[in-house]
Order: sequence, then C-alpha cells, then structure tokens
Amino acid sequence: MEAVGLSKISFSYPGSRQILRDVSLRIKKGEFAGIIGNVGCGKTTLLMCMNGTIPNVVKGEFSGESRLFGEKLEGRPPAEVWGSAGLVFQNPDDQIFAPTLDEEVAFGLRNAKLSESEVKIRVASALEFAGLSNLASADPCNLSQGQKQKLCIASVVAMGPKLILLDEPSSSLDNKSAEEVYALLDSLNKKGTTIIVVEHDTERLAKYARRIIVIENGGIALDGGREVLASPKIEKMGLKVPCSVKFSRKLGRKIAYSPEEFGVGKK
Amino acid sequence: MIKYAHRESAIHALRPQAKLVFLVVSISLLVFFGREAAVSFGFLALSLVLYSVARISPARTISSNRAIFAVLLIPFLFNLLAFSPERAITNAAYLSSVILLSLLFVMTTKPSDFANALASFLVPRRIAFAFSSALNFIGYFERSIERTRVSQLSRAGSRNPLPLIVPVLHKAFRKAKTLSISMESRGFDPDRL
Ligand SMILES: Nc1ncnc2c1ncn2[C@@H]1O[C@H](COP(=O)(O)OP(=O)(O)OP(=O)(O)O)[C@@H](O)[C@H]1O
Ligand SMILES: [Mg+2]
Repeated sequence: MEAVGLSKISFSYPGSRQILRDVSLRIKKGEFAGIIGNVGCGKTTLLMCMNGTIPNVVKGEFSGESRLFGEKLEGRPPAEVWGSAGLVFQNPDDQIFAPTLDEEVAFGLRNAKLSESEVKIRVASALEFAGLSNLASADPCNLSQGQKQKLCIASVVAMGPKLILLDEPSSSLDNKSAEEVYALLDSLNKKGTTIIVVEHDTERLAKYARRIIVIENGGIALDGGREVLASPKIEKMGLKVPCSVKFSRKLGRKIAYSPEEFGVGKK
Repeated sequence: MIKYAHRESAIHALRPQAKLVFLVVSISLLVFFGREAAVSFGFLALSLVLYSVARISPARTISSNRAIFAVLLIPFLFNLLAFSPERAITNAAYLSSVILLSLLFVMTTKPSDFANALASFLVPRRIAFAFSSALNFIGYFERSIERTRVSQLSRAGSRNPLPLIVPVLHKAFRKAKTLSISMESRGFDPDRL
C-alpha cells in the first residue's frame, strides 16, 4: 500500500521561480524515509505537498497529482486528512499556542470531536509517550527546545495518523535531545507508522532512515537505501557524508552507516 | 502576562461558566456603582481575596502588566486635577478592580474552557474560538516582545521601542502563517465550527 503517491508534481509560489519540477515519488506504508538537500531546494515545499497543504491551503501554480493512502488530495484540505497524515514543522515555537501542554495536545483531539473523557485518555498517553507526563499543566514557554519539539510530536501522535511528516525535527536540538526525538520516531515506525523526515543531519538519517531521497534543483537527484549516503554525489552537492562511511571506506572495510555498525558506538 | 497560569486552586477548578457570570456581573456592578467608594474599594478588596485563593500574586500580576496599569495614570491625573483627590482614588480603585478581575479570569480559565463557556451562553462557536485564540495570541505576543527586547538589549540595543516592532511583527506574522497550517493539519477547520 502506498502512503504517499506524488505524480509529476510541479509547483511555484505566487510570483516566484519554479520550486518543484515534475517530481514523482512513491513512499510505501511503514517506511522510514529521509529527505535531504541544500538550503532552499524545496524540501519543506515537498513535505507540504504530501498532506495536501499544497495546493489546498498554500496556493501557487500547481500541477500534477498527489495521493495519500491511495486517495486524491486535491480539494481535500489537511483538516480532512488528519487521520492519515500529521505534519510537524521545523520551529516548535511557530506551532505551540496553548498555555499548557495538555491543552496543546487536546487541541487536535477536540477538533476531531472526541468526547472529553476520550480526549483526557489520549492526552495522557501521548504525553506519556513523549516523556512529558509530569509537565502536563506546565507552560510550554518554559520547556527546553527538545521538550517543545517532543510536545509538537505528541500533539500529532495523539491523533493517531498513519503517516507523520516532520520538517528538520532536530535542527535546533543538541545531540542528546535529537537522539531522544528520533528514538520516539523509531518506536512509532516500529509500530507501523510511516515516517517521512526532512533532515540535514545525515549521521542521524544513516542510523534511523531506511530510505534516502536527495532533492536538487526542484527534482529528485537520488533515491534509494542508505547506500545513497555513500554516493559521490552527496559530497559533490556539499552535503555531509556520515563519518562511519568515510572511515570504513578509508580502511577498505565494508561500508558501515553508523558508529554502531562500525563497531565503536554503544549498541 | 495575559494568559492562563496553572495552579491547584479552588478558583481554577470552578466551572468556567460560573466564573464568566461572576465576571460579567461584577463588571456591570462596577460600571453602574463604581463611583461609590464603598463599591469600588469593596471590589478591590474582593479581588485581592480572590487572588490569594487562586494562589496568584497580585503584585506580580500588576508588575508584569504594568503597561496596562500605567495607562490608569491618565484618568487618575485627570480626575485629580479636574475634580477631587477622593474621586481620583475611587476611580482608580474602580478601574483597577475591573482589570484585576478580568486578568484573574484569564489567568484561571483555560482558553478552551473559556470558548466552551462562551459557546454554552449561545455565543457562536466561531466567535468564541476566535476570542480565545486572540487571547492566546496576546500572550504569545507579549512573550515575543520580551524575548526580542532582551536579545536587543544584550546586543547593546537602546530602549527605543521602534527597532522592536519590525522583528516582533515579522515573527508574529510568520507564526500566524505556520500556526494556521499546523492547526489545519490537526483537524481545525474554521468553516465547520
Ligand atoms: N511562501 C513562499 N512564497 C514565496 N517563496 C517561498 C515561500 N516559501 C518558500 N519559498 C521559496 O521557495 C524555495 C524553497 O523553499 P523551501 O522552504 O521548500 O526550501 P527548503 O529546502 O525547505 O529550505 P530550508 O533548508 O531552508 O528549510 C526557497 O527559495 C524559498 O525562498
Ligand atoms: Mg525547510
């Protein structure tokens, strides 16, 4: 079953150059896919096509066809497809608006017209999942950046979407918080949620993603398994090749994609 | 700050409808009878009692909303010069009570409860929601101004408010754009309320 099906998508924002050109991409249910590319190449734009934010909410010149779990997205705004796809933006401060954590998580559930008792149960379990239970009544402003990011993820996870799209979830986090966020995503993926993440940190992707999609000039330059990260093109584009790949190449060993595989990290 | 502040208190736990009725009745009484010193000082005393029950410090509340309270100086001076000191003081007590009670309501009622309470008094859900999100946004705006101000001061900025306005508006605008998309992707549909 296809989670995301984009066929020949082209898009430009009003009055701007073309951002996406003829992009066709299929992502199967249950995948953990990472999208990389240089600054401004259209990663966020691509993500917004996947849940129909483009062209239904953000307007521009759009052509092609987008499908989510087999259903056409055109004319179906994100508010209708929340059960299929959740979207987490890059900056948590742009998404959090409620005065307490539990209100933030409850927001979507109330939109879904769940009963107040069901809302309570789901809020509690989403906060528990994100490790934020003890902060349920706290003010999100006072959270650390990592906790804010987890809160944004919890707000989406509470709604139980089959696919979660994330835009650079670790960009403002230190290594430990980023690991924690990815561990959450990994556990969701193991339970069957499809995860698509835009990420500039190739080390992180090497460890968690099983598919890598490289965007260049508004199109897909490379698409494949983790071996994509070892392709010469990555270096040519100025993207970072994971250290383990470099080391294993240098030592003439079988390519390892993470320190763990290389045999130095903790298992 | 104009926003919900969680505490374990009887006032936080009260039904939002009850708090809303109380607020509306109190403000009406103040508007009609606030010129009586007994009424305006009575309500001022009552507000202070309610703050202590709600475990919120009135002094902290006043200092973090000092811009609002500073504006009270204008009617105070006007009354002082045009009428009498008694009238100026009574009027200040009247206005302070209105503001303190309104702030207390906001600080002890979650925006979603506020929206539900409004809706249960037959205010259309759209308007109720717009109201409570506007409240949320005011709180966000205040925090954003504070952060930008601190950041500019730390870069040896002046206390001139003008350079504050551009980045704060820019951030608020960006936030409004992203937030609206994020809210829609969490099932919020303004047309279906
Ligand atoms: N609302 C908009 N209106 C006009 N142009 C836009 C808009 N949003 C983005 N762009 C432009 O579209 C291009 C692609 O933007 P996008 O945000 O998709 O890139 P990105 O790959 O996510 O970049 P980054 O790595 O900086 O997050 C950029 O050049 C950007 O300036
Ligand atoms: Mg981006």
